[in-house]
Amino acid sequence: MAAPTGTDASLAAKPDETSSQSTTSPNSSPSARKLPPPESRESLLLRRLSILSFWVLVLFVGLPIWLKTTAIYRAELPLQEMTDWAEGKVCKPVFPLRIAVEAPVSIPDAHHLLRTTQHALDDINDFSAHHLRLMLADSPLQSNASQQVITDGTGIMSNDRDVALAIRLIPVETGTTPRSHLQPYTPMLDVYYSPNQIPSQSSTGSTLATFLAQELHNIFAEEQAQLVHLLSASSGAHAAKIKALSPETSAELQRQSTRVLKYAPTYHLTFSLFTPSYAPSAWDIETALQSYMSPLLDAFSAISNFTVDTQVQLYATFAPSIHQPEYDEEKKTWILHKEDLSGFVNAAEWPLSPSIGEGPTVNFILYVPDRTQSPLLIKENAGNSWLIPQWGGVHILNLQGEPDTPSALTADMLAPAMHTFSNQLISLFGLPQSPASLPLRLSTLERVRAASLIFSASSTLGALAQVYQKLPSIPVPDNVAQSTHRTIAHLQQACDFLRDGRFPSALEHARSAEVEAEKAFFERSMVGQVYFPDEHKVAVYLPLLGPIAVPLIMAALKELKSVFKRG
Amino acid sequence: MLSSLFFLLVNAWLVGAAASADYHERLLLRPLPQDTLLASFNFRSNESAAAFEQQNFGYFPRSFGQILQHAHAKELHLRFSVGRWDAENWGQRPWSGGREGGTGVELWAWLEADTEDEAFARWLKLTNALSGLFCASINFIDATKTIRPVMAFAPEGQHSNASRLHLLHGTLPHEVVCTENLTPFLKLLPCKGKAGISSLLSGHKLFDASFQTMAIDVRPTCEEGSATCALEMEQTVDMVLDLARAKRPKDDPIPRPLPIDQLECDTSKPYNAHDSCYPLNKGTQPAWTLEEVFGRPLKGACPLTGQTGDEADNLCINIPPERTVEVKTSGEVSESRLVADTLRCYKLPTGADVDLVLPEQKMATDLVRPKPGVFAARSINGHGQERGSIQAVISNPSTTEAVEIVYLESLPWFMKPYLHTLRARLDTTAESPIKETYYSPAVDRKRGTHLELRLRIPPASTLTLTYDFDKAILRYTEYPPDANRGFDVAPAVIRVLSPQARDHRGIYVRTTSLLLPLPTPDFSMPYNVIILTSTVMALGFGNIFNLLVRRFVAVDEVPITAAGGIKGRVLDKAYRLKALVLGG
Amino acid sequence: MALFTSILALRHDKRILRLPPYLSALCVIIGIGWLLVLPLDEYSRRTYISENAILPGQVHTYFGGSEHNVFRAYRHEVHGLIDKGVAERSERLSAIFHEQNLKVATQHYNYTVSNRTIANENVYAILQGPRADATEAIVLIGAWKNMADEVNNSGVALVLTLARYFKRWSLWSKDIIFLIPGDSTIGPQAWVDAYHDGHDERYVESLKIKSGALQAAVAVDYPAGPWGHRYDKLHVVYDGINGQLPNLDLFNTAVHISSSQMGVGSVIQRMWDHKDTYKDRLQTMLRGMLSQGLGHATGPHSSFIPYHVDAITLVTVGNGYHDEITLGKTLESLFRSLNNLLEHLHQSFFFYLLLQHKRFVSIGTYLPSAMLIAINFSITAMALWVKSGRSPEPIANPASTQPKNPAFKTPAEKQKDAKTAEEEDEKKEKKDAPPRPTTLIEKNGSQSIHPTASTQISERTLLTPLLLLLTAHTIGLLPLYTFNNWHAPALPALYITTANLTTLLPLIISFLLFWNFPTILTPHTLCLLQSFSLLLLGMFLAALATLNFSLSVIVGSVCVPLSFVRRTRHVGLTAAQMLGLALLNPCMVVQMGTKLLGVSLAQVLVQGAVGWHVWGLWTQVVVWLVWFPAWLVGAVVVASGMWE
Repeated sequence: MAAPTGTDASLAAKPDETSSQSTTSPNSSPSARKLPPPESRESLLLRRLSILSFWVLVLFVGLPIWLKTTAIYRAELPLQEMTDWAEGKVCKPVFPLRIAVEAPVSIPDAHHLLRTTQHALDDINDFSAHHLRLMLADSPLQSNASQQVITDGTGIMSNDRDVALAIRLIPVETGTTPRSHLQPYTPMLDVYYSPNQIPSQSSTGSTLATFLAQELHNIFAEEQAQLVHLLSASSGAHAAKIKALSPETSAELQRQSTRVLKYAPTYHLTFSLFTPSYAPSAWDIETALQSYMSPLLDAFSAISNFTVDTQVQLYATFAPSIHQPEYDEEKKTWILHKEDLSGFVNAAEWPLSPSIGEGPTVNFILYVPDRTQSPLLIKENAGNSWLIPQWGGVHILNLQGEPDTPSALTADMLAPAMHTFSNQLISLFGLPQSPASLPLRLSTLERVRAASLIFSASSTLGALAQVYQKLPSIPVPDNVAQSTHRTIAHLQQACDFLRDGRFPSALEHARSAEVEAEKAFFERSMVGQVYFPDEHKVAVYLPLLGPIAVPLIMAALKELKSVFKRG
Repeated sequence: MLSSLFFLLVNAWLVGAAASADYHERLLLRPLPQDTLLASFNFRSNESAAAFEQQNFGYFPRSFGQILQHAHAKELHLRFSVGRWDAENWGQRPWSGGREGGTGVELWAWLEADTEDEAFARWLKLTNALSGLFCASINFIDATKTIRPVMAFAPEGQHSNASRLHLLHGTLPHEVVCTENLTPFLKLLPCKGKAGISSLLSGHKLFDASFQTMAIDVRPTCEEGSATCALEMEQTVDMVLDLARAKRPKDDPIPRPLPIDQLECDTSKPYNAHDSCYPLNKGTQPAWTLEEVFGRPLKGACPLTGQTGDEADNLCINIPPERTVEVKTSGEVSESRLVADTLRCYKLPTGADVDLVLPEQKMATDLVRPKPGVFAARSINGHGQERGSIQAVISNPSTTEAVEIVYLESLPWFMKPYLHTLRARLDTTAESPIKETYYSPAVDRKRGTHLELRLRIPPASTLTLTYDFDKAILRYTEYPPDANRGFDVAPAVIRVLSPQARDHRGIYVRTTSLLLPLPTPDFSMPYNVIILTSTVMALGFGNIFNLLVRRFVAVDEVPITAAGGIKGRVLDKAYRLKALVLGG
Repeated sequence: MALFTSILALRHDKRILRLPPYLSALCVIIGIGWLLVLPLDEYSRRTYISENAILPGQVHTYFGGSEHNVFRAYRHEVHGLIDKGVAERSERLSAIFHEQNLKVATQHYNYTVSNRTIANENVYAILQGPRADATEAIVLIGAWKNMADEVNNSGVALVLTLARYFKRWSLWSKDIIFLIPGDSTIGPQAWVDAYHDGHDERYVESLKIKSGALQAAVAVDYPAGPWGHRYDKLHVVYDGINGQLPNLDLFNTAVHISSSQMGVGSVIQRMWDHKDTYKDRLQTMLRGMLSQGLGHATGPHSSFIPYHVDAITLVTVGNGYHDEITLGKTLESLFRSLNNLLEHLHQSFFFYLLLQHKRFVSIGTYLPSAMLIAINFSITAMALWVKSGRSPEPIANPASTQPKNPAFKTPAEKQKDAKTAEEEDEKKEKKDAPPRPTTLIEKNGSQSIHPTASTQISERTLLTPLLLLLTAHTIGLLPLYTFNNWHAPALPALYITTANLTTLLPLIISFLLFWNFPTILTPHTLCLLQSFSLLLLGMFLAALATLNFSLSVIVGSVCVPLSFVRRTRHVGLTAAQMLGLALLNPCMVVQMGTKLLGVSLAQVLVQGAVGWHVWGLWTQVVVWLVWFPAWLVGAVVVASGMWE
């Protein structure tokens, strides 16, 4: 279409040029210059329409597509919720402990006793979050049929696993009363009292009640301390309304918590026999483990499960960096210096790689020194074993008596080592020292663990939220969002279970919350480098966008101008 | 022929030395022509299946055992190899190729799994774990480098439930095997290179060898009849040392020209003079000692080995009877001569250094080295960017008996072979040697090509196998940093089915790996391309846009402010100029 | 868009038709001028190493000391073999390699070129690098006979000595192949063909042992006798078959090592004393272009380059104080550098013109000249096409108002007297669109004025010219075949006959056509014929410029007149044009070239045949199928003017 236009335009111009010789150039006499014929309305309309359509296309199709295709995908995260969790606004962990009381007395008396004791308890207890609820248990001992037992709502089965502690009131005549005895292998406290100490309905206070209260408070003192420490250590929301611990106790707790292993559903225990020479090259570890380790591990199995593996490593030399043990003349022993213990485990040479699979590895090293270097002891305390925080323990086995190092170690040679190892395992596991009853300590551990897991999971969520807000250019895949939601759900449940005192289930959910949170936070594709920075995007597409934008804008401006000119 | 019979006996004897004790190790030295020395180390340790299941590891390394359990690997073979075995001169391969891998890293294992996918998932676990253990990039063995051989490999151990076992095989031809792989290898040994023959293994010498391969083989072994099974782990190191190079002192490894007085000249030459010297080659066996060849002394025996019978013989040397060997040690060494004196074995003392000294000696006779079952060579033919062809030449030297082999090719996906161009020609007969073919074609970026052929080569004839292939063009992010080097193609594995192997290890031959040059882009281009294309698009857009929205008017009708088009503007200027000049 | 409109509006402007001759002349002048300014500092660059891995001259070289004695011994050995038979020679060389514990093999080749049999044997040994996995290899070549056909005595001895010396190192990460071909050009070709399995088994024996992909090859040419000869400089030869060149990095490495590390000067293109003046640079460049354009093998390295194996030859020249050890050290250092390579040489240029051993011009800079020369043909072709499309006018008397050089004026002049009428008032009016006889077209009320020309239809008959062109190109096949397959002794005679024949051919053809089919040789057809032929020529040369720049430039520049000759009835003019064309007959040009270069014609012809059969040379294809037909057509067009 273009060529004819050009030509006949020029031709149309021809006649008047030829007619008037005087006008040499069209510009010399602008007056004579003729304007283009007025444009017809429809053509005008058409042009404007086409320009408009271009703009519409660009604005509503082109740009969106471009932005969509070059954008980084970021899944939606419940940021507010996450930060709330992190700041502990959502869940204030409380630990209502149920304590079943079996009283071989008439129901009303029992109820009265409970009430008074409860009052006494609440008076002593100054840590609101952790609070003991006494309730009447229907006594398993149905000795005297004369006594009818009413099982009302408050009464619960004492073998219910949600009961933290059961108190058995046993009337006695002899001995100082009231006195108590905590059973070491069941969560049961026997309280011996003389019947006259049962408070009458009328009387408000009673020695027995106060005694009970005091006992209970002492039993759970350490647990409370730990929880307090935990809460204060975690986000500030709680710390406010918690009475500060005495510095020394908090320091002590701090020390414990540093050495304690990070919680995991599974732990791998590795027992290694190291010797600088080629003997002993075998040990009867199976039996040793059977007899010394298995009971402990069974006890722990409620909280975590364990895999056990063993190895024998010969020709294991010290690292050259530490200075070798030296002979102490008067003690007739070889001694290691305390400062060298850290370098005792020759991480470079000794194959102590963590086991494959989920969960941390706890190493227990049995070191049998060479005959020429035996006995080998620690200088400061003449001990032969030490614990390496969050890693494991070492025990040096000095074989005295035998003329020559035996090629195999028997189970009872291993006995002392095994005892050390079990103690080390307990302290690595963060089991409180008191009370004397193992089940109680375990349940304490349960609660502490649950709380700590909840805190760590929520802080992870907070961190994730921060990352999400701080780095707008990292891609966030969907599964991160999913795990975040799962985490929150689990946390919520854990919190609820805590509230109504179902601690095992609480721990359960806290665990999975922790796992999910970790998964969300350490998503690989998020850690990947910034994918496509905006300036880069612009730089690449400028050659396209620039030349396209210029004519569009110019045309638009031109039209607008003409529109305004017309009126 | 007689001495080759001896050789067979040697092999039989070496293989026969089954480990009844839990740990067993032996070093066999065998001088080869061209002043080279073959040293093949062999370490074997057993663990009872029960103890293994309970993860009570004795001599079996814990780290390795856990990996096996984690991946449910019932039998595993791992190889690190560098260099080439010169079959023409050196004769049959150590362990007749059964403990040898292709250049780089080669791994195959029988995994226990219910489904193929499960097996592959476990395979990935295995490769990742192993790469961590051996400081090698074994984890790069992904789906594209993994195949499931059908005929080329047979399990060496006795497996109870063979039905649930899956064989997976992967290679990394480009992997550079070096010292960092030897250190973990040694750590797996009970004596850790602190005592026993493993004390000879040093990275410098091992990786200066003309040919060296490290092998780890784990297989379950069960005594016939009894249900007690054990897990046998065999570690093997075979190296061919160039004596001249190996004897060079570690502090001055540079091969400077000899001082003129030390240069031995062939005085028979007419032009022999003080300034010109034809290097004399005396047909003698060079002198060497263990310590100077391996660069460190042999620190006695590893006391864990059995102390009785032939298990006590940890050090064996396979030389002609008249070759003199002097043993230097502070402890006492008992020598025993076997296989018609061609094999001397020594029971090493514990905790005392031992050294063997062999003087320079002119030999009347040398051991006859039997030819390997087959010779194989493979090469890429043709050149250019888009296609090529592979040629494998396999010859059967035996004049009497035919050999039956399995030829296994595992090709990367970007190398697309055409099976219809596969030709197998024999130089003696016209009949096709291909008895059986197994082929699974490649899937782009998902799976490599896997080709297995069962071939029969008649006596004294040569098989030439050729096929053509196309070279794919990769996405430019798929190129490695050294794209212009080319891409390595894994060696072909050849398994000899008949004549039968003498032991469970089987007879294998591997070709060298190949370098496949692919078309490589200029990596600075993509951005330029983007810019160029978008500019062109923008140009087209601009023109069409103007065409649609501009109003076309005559040139002289154009208002001065907005002239129509470039030409209009130019002319306009021209007119004004003229008007000025003419003062019109 | 407006731009397009105006261009289309210009379509009928007669100035367009007057322009082309000047335009194409301008193209040619600029093209040639472009070449001439290249040697200036502004347009050329200093060479530099762009592959970082090479690290040239960074290693200390240990070759020397007692190796010198060994070298002398080997030199005697080699000298002793000079007048021995091929079999005995290769047997002895293999023996020496074998003593060095290398894997040795021989390869026999036996070509039959123009009824001469060229038979000889290559000996090669492979040093398997301890660090190598048989995937890569570099080649060290010492041809038994060098290009001047003298025995490469010291060169071969040096290769043997280096083989023995290299064997002791444990650092080689690539295999090293020591190749001793029977001669300098054919042997290497046979070997490298067989190595890539591109050989014809009838002539060339397959290789018994192979190694990995070849990364680079270095040939050494040191024809000093048993008593040695101290040389002055190293002549680095780098031209490959068909004008392909090795990667510039390899060349730079060699130059850098020899001059900076060893202190041996290096020269290129036989410019023995290069003053680095403009003249010397230009001369170097032109020599380089000439040998590139001819595309023949310039040394043992040439055959490797078509296989994308970068290769050079080091030739010792002059009398000076450098001895074989310096050369040996140079080679050692060079191989250590190549050993460092992680990738195939790819960083630096493959297309370049060297002005001096340390200055070069890259393709981006020099390519336009060849393109311009090629374009000039296209322009003329288009002009002729347009012209052929115009309505035929009565031919006015040429001698009317033609002041100067009618040969170059003809096209313009034709339209000029086409419409002298409009000329007058066109002078008056200042308009961009020229007026022409117009017709008024009336169509349902609206009327428009159209130029008459645009309403008239002038038809082009395409078949005949295309057929003629095809024939012209087919004719080219005849000499191509005969020259490549004729008996060697008879070649010069054949050549003379061809020369004479081709010179007369245009006259004969045009005469025959004129008498038998006078209808064919209408000016219209000839115009189209010439247009097509020039178009084809332009396209060919443009394409060729990207492959073998020099050849394209050479052919282009000798073809330049073809775009200016025209058919005219003026006898003197025709005669002059014919004479000019006769001188530009390919045969004539080649003959004159040989005279100028001082080489025997027979030699050139034989080499050509060898090139065709052995090296896969393409030069004669260009000559006979691109250049000759274009010339023939041009000549016929002119000659047809005589028969009227």
